[in-house]
Amino acid sequence: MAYKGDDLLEEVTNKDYEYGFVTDIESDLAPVGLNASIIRLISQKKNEPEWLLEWRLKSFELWQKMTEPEWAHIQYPRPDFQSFHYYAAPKQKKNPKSLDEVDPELLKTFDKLGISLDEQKKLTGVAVDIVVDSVSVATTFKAKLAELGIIFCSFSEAVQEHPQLVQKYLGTVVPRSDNFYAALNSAVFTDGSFCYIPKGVRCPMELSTYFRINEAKTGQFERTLVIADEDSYVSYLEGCTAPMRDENQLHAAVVELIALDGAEIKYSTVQNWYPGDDEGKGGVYNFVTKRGICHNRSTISWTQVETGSAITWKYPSCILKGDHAVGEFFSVALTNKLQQADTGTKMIHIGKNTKSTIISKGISAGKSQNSYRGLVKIGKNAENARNFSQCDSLLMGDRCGAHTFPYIEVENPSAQVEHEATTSKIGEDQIFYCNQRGIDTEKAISLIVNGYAKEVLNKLPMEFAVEAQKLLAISLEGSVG
Amino acid sequence: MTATLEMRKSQKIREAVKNAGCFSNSATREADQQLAELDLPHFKAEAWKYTRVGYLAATKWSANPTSEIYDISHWKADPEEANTLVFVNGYYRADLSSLHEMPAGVIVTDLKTASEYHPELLEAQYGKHTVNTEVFTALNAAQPFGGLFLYIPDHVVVERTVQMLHLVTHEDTIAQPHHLIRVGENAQVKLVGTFGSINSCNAFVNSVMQISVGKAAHVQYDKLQAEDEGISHICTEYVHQDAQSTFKINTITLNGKMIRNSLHISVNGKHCETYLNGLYVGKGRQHIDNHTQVDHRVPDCYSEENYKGLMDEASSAVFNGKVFVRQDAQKTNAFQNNGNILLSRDARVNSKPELEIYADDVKCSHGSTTGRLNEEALFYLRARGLGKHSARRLLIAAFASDVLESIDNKSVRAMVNRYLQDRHNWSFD
Repeated sequence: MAYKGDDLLEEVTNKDYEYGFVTDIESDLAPVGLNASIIRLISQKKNEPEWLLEWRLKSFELWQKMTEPEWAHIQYPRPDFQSFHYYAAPKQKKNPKSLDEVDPELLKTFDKLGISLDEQKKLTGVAVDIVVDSVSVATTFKAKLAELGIIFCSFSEAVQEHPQLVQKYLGTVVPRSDNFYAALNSAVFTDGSFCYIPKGVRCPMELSTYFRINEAKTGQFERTLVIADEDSYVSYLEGCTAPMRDENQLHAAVVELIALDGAEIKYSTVQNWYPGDDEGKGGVYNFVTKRGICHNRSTISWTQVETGSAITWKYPSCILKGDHAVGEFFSVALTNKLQQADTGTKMIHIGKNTKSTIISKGISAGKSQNSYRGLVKIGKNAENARNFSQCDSLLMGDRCGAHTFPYIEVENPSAQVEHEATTSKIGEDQIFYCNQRGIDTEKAISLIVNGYAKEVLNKLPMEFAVEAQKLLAISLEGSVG
Repeated sequence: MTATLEMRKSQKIREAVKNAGCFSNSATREADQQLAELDLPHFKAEAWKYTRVGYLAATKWSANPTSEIYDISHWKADPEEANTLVFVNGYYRADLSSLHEMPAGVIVTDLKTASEYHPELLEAQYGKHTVNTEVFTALNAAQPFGGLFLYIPDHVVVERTVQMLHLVTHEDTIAQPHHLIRVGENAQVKLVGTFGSINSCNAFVNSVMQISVGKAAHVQYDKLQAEDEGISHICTEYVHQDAQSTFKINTITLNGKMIRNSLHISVNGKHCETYLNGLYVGKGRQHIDNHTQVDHRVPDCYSEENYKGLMDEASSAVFNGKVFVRQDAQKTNAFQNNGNILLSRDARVNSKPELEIYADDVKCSHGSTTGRLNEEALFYLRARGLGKHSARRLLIAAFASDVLESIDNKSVRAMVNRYLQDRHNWSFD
């Protein structure tokens, strides 16, 4: 074949991680290892109330009795949980009041990542709550949000200032005993984001958090809690990049979304953590538990673009508890080199007239393994539930794998559940068609793959769509060899 | 050590079938050894997530070789023509069977006779493609009660259908038929398997079948499972396809207490075609589980799967179809479809169509739908004067028709229609 795809593919699959760099900031580190006294230390450092310490210790107790899940289609050396630092805070002079007070090294890091705070403040109207190794550094637009009664702050701040809200909702969607990693997170989470939208408020801007894993050998245990009160609306963005490391880094976040009656939450993620080098060395282990609960007439919409991490184990889910609740899941997962992804969603229909949509687009290249694993469960009382799932996989190169494991459990006859999946490489006839009309092969591939992922990319907010397209573009070329 | 063995549920059944086999050789002894290490699957095992089999150890099973005469006429496919081998409680009954003259070189006999007259042929085939780490396969392979031994030499077309007719007759009976079929290069055969019972009793049928499909051979297998409501059936098939061969199987499950079909198809030569169709109809508290696996090991093959389920009352169904495409199996085309209709409030379906693909130049897809009969279609028919039941029946018939039409053997199709008419009052003619 005359395609120069092979070279392109080579180039693409060998492309080094662009965002790999280490910021030199002194860190306040907890000793290596995990035990009850480390948890007490974390809790004490963060000046937490007694109930939260109890909650952490109980989680730790549960975690000790659990074993790591092994059912996923991923293979990796089991991390030694006693070899991590469970707490790392960048050293700073008190809390900064403006950007001038922020460590210039940190600001440089953000510049490299392309998130200039000033620019964000002025141009995009995005409020950014930046998390560098577990402690919030700067929060913008807080005042503006406060006017509307919206609370958007770091998790530790919320614990101090809104303990009643945190206590009421923490662990209600992802219980401590939910799974191994959720239990671990519940025991040792250091920080994260907290968001509360009051009744009837439509959040005027996209709320955004940039996560950064920074200190070597620190597990990052984020805890995010988003509560949308009755008839409110919020769009939440989460984006990730991580520096180059030789040691495998563990990330076990928990995200809980609560959409009360009539509320709508849009949660978008772009994940581009370090996937490891050509031999699969280094790279982030990403074991995330994300789940939302929908009350009556509410909507939760997950959109994710997953391009990074050596291991991705992630199933953003919706529990459609209320009547007329809607759950959505839009995902593009791209794996390259030796990356492994086992990702998908769970849609649990409990309420009447509930609807869910799943659109998953997998792209695997290099020697990677990309699996979709999803559950659609229609409970006995979920009258007139409706689900549509579409899971497509695109293969580039003959040494990668694409797998689909959908679970469909229906216990109510009024349900209508449809699932379809396809796996293929880009159709040569499609390329031929484009060639015939004067579009060269490279452009044709880009056109076809763009179209392939468009359904999902369209769901992303503007700022993210651009970043996501950029991330995907790297791998678009040379997909036919 | 003894204590742990006693605790294992599988060992109870192993004891029950001890010395019940019709022959023994090194392969059966090996299977028995493997069985000693295995237990009944726990629901935490992925392949048994939705199907409970632990209760099988609660009954004290016994093998029941009987010489009673039964009327088998309504179970017969092509009564005048076919070679019908009858297995009562898993044991071959020469007196009830009817064998016709076959083309030269074809051996059609039972397993016991084969072990006496063709031990070298039997040894070459027995256990060749079965997987003894599966507890029910090992259980069967250690003590095969009886079975069809069919050897078709190269370039022979067998015109007459070969039928395996199974009956279970007694309470607490365990039956373990084991069929061995070898179809030579360029040969052709049509098989029919019927599973029925004389009394509605608590019985357990654990059947295993192994089919080698030679190069460019054609094999068609129509399987009808219509045992009474007390009978548990675990039915495992291992199919090995060589290049350019075609294998078609229709699995029709109409009755039984708990039915588990495990169909393993391994495609080992280029340009093979594989067709799997299934229809399962549940009623009462029946549980029907269909597991299929098509393992594409080589390039340029085609497989197509279509399973349809109609679940009434408090019945439950499981569908787990797996298409496995290995790294070398480029240019594989594999399609999989599963449709389910729930006819009552208490019916349940768990569907898991899987694709596991390691090659890039493939076209694979699967689809799964679950729902009830289309309300608008029902309304349309009723607006045109059809009664509620006729309208439902018509839509059910339309839903099941593509699978029913794929049944090759006319008398099996008639059996199915008759059964659906009697049991569900659906007429599909």
